[in-house]
Amino acid sequence: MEAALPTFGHVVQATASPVALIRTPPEASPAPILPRVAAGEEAAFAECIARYKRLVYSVVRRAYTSVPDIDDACQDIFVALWRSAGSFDPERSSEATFVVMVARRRLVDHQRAVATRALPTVQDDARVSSAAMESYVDARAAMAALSSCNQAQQSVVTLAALRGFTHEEIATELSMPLGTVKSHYSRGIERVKRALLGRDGDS
Amino acid sequence: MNYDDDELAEAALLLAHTDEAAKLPRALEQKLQLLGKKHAAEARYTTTKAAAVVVESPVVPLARPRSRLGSWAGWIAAAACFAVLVYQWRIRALEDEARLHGAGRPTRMILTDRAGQEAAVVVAEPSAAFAHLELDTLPGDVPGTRYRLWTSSGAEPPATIGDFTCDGGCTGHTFSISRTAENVWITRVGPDKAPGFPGDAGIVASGHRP
Repeated sequence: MEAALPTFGHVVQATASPVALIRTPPEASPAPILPRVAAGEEAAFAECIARYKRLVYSVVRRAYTSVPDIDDACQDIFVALWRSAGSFDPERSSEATFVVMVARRRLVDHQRAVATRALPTVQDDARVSSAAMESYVDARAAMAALSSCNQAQQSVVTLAALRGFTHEEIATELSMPLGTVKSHYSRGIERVKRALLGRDGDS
Repeated sequence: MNYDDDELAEAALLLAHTDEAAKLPRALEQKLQLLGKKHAAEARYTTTKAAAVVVESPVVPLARPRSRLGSWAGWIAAAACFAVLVYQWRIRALEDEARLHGAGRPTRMILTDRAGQEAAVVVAEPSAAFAHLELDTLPGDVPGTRYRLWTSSGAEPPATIGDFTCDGGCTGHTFSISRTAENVWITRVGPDKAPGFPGDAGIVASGHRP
């Protein structure tokens, strides 16, 4: 039984035009840093912080508002990122997506561990980030795929992705049968996965 | 770390909703820099340690003791082989010497009387055609006593060589007999005795070559 409802943001619908964004040519991909971190290259640690500190900080701020919580979570995520750097596979995702995945998992785990604490109130920035859509091919592909889903599928997948809701929690939140939630999630996330696997480039 | 494509897809959607416009507080940035330096140092230590193990271990700690031990073992093995060879050569030389000395050494056969006392000795010199029997003290050695000498080889029946008397005492008398004689008997010959080989009661002394 799930004990907590991790929250990364408010559920909103994609507002950007995925078709227009997909047409944006991919930017030049910087060389990945995580393989160098995994190899123990000293300079790679500082470069990793420089490249992803704002991304990690932004993800954390969606879950926490207090400065100590944000500081602790950011440090914890970077340590987890360095320890799992060897697991990064550039064939499966961009490095930024991998970083967000590590951050998201750490936040979900932490919030479920401290389930008795009141969930933080996040700022209303859950709308699609135009900067992210310009910078990351994965983000564009994922949102384009999600936009092609029906309304129910979008709601279910968004609750799972942005808030870390379990299927049971989504069913409760949307007053929807559990089986229907699972079906919507399966079809929606499948479209996103296919879009990511077919991505043309990375940044 | 294990992860599936569902998790990556959810992360990509979260990435699309993440605005990186906010700047980090200076304090957090400093904490992250310190954290990075600490982990970089740990990584350097781990890497250096691993490299040291890989590079140095075959050269420094292992090679020297092994070569010293191998050198000693080699010398010990060589010395042992040399000692065995010398021993075998010496044994062979001693055997040859013994064989040579045995061939040139005179063989002796002692004849004893019924009481086990030495009565005569047969000496066969290697270069001589005959063996010599030399009498010592025969039982009942009184003037006028007549004795008969018998010899045989292998399973042959005793054959008499001749009779003799010791009027002045038998000690020091010598006779020539066959070198191949393996059994020698001396019997007393009475005037009433038949010339055949007597039973044990008539034997004065006897000797047998083993």
